[in-house]
Amino acid sequence: MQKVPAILASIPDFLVAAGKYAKRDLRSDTMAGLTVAVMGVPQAMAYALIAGLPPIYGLYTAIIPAMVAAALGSSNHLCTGPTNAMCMVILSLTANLPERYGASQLQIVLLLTLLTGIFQFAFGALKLGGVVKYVSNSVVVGFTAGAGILIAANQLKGLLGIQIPEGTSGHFLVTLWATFARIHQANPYALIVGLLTIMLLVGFRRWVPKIPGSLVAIIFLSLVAWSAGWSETAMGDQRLHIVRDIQPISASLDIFGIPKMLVQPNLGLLRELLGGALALAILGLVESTSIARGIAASSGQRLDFNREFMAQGIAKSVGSFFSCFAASGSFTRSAVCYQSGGKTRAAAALSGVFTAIVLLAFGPLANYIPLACLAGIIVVTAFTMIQRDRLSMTWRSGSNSRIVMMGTFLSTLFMPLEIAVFAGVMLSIGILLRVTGKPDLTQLVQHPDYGFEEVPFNRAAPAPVAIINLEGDLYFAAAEDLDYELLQALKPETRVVVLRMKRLRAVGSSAMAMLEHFSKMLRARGIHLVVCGVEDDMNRVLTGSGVRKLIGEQNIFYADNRIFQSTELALARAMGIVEMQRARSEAATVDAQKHTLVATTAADVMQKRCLRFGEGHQIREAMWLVSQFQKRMKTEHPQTVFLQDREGRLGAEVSVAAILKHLAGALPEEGLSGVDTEKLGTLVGARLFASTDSIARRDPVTLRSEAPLAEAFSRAARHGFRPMPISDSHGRLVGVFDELAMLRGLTKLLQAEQEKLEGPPSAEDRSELAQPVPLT
Amino acid sequence: MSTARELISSKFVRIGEAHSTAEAIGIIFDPQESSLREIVIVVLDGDGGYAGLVEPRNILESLGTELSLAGEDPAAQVAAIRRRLSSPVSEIARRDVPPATLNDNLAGLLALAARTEATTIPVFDQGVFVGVIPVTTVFDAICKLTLSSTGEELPFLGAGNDS
Repeated sequence: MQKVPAILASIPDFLVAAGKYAKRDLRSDTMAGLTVAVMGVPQAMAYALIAGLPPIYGLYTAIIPAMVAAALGSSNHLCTGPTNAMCMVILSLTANLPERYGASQLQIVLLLTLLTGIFQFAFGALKLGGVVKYVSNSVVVGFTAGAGILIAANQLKGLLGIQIPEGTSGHFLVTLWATFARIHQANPYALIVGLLTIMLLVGFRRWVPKIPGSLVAIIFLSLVAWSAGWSETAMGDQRLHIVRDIQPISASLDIFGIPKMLVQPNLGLLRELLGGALALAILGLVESTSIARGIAASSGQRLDFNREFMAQGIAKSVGSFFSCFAASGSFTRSAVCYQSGGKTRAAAALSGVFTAIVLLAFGPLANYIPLACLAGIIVVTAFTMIQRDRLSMTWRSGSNSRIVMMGTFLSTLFMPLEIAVFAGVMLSIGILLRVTGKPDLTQLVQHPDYGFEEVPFNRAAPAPVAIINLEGDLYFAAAEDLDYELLQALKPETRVVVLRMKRLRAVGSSAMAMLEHFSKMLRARGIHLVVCGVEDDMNRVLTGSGVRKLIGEQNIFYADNRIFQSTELALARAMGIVEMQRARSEAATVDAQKHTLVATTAADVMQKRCLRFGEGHQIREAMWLVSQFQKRMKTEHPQTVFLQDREGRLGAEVSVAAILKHLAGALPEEGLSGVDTEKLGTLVGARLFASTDSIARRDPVTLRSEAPLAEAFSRAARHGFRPMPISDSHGRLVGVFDELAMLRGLTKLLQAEQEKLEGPPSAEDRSELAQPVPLT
Repeated sequence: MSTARELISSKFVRIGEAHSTAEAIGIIFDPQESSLREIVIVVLDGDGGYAGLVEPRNILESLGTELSLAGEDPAAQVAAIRRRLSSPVSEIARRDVPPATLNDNLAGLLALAARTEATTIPVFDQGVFVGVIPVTTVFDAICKLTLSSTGEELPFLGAGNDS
């Protein structure tokens, strides 16, 4: 039996799911979509004016991107379409370009929209959703407030019914100046319509919030203007401008077309738009994600931001082929969608469908809407962007938030908008780096009753163990000079430093280099380093960098679930080190006293390197041995060869002096000047083959290794201070008590005797014995 | 042909007669000076002329003499040693070391080295002190001459002769 293809097999499931949806959510989504469309149509037309485009493009943007973003996104309530801030940035980016590039503003805007969509899609595809977190709340609040004022300033001309030159839009002071310079040209009918619109919107919002005031204002004032004939040409200069004057709206959706700038690309324009498109993409994502997140907090929906980014990007890219400008998540429409009972993404998609139906059904009527009416709507929504409660909250959240908010706000007013967004982000990051550029340092002091007490850095009482608590980021900037700062916690009493590293983050190679240097500086001061609270990440970095080996495994204590457990262990280790040092110091003192006063022996000062040789060898062999020893030891002090039997017992000694005397015996008594080298070789050569026994001193005077120094010196004096071999209890040679050893021992003996008689020697006495002498 | 002219060394320390014995010991144990192969201290008189040699054995012998004179009393021994250490180095400098001249050949130097109890031979040129030749230098020169001239290998090289 042939298998049914999977796609066909899934049809029943799909139909079941569709049936369930139709029964459960379709009604709610339809109502929500219709509400959003009714409320959104006037907004969409007005926002197109902000972007410097005819109102019809606002409607297109409320249809296509809304449907695509809803179909592909993850939020159930995010409504995508024209927004005031995005439109303001579009105007700022494109207002001056048509003249320079010889293209219509619409075509430039479509190219910008496509680029923005590509950027947003790339953010999502590359899973860079986290990029929006670098745009702080202070930046968003400052930018929105600034954009609101800028939008209102730009729409004053529409409210007054005056025309200002192209190219002044988007520049706050220039726009204000150009508007007030022409205030004498104000159209009283436009002013009446605009002010009435504002009053109706404010009134409805206050007293009848459920009815969309903008729709009522548009219908009512359009009827008034039409019936009064204010838009007739007979009104002359006082004529009220209407939507038809910009570009007539027809009941048609024949809007597909490839953007001309793709067919006839202009690289210069493309290059100029790239930066702005990036800013617009980030702004759009910030808007969309913050709105979606805010509503999801209420609805409990879990969002996939990377998917949302891709959906927003595709919506814009597709939209650019349907005469749509860059859209974004709209806060008011999304909130209405949620509050109207929207359950699924179909609600937002249906709002696009209903907007299209409105366009097809009532499009031609929209031609009669007064522009002043749309300007009034924009001014009201612009002022709602200045959210006093959020501004106040941000202002009260500290100086850093204030600086970022005001910096972004002023940048928005006085700089190109795309730069204003980046300026705000850079300001945020700059302040973040300043704040995190230094880890928090405190010190811990153990209290017998209640564990550890945290005190400000460098304020702990002097103690043998200094516990320093490090918190925060320790990236490259934070690690700079930290080692020298840590040194400030050292006191003369400090013997061990314990670094608690449990709350450190972003630890890298700079931190390890700092720790290595700090460890070496401590070592140079004779201070031990112990670290505790070491987490797995930190352990990996310590191991990889080799610092773990430098510090020593016994001085590293790993973080545990129980708070302060590793710190307690580290403190125990530190106290152990302190105790060990104290014990060693005491033992060294006692030992030194014993050493100098009582127990110094010949073995303590003897020369351990000496020449051992067997008995019965020839003199030439002994000579070779001595010459090699002198070369190797780089000494010119005449050596003595000690002869041992097969058991290693000392039997005789042969000195250099004895060898020289033996060889010199071959020389004639007179006439040495006539003995040349060859003759000398012949003369002494005959004596080289004699046995060392013939010149050896038998039974040399020896010293026992444990012989006290005084006794050794006394015996050496009795035997003319010749080098004396020192043997162990088995008679085996262990060293030589030679002249330098004697001299060294004598000075020790003198110091010991002097201390016995007079107490420890003064610095002068010591220098008297060992003072370097200036050469003459 | 090796002569004193070829073997002479100028690596020695010159000190004045008025310096103390303690200062001479300080030179011997001074790390900087100990980098020399052998500490040879030459004492010069007020005119810069040769006034003798000081070697560790001279110092030891003088100290031994002082100690033997001091008897068994430790205090007297310490006082004697201190007295010796503070006394001028000229008192212990050896002036009886047989000197060599620049033209002395190796045979003459061997004869001098065999005769002296010192470890260093002073060298003069027409009555003027010009340098020293350590006895070990003479010994090395003899070794080079004789051990190479024997023409035989030394089969025990390096066997069991730890130093």
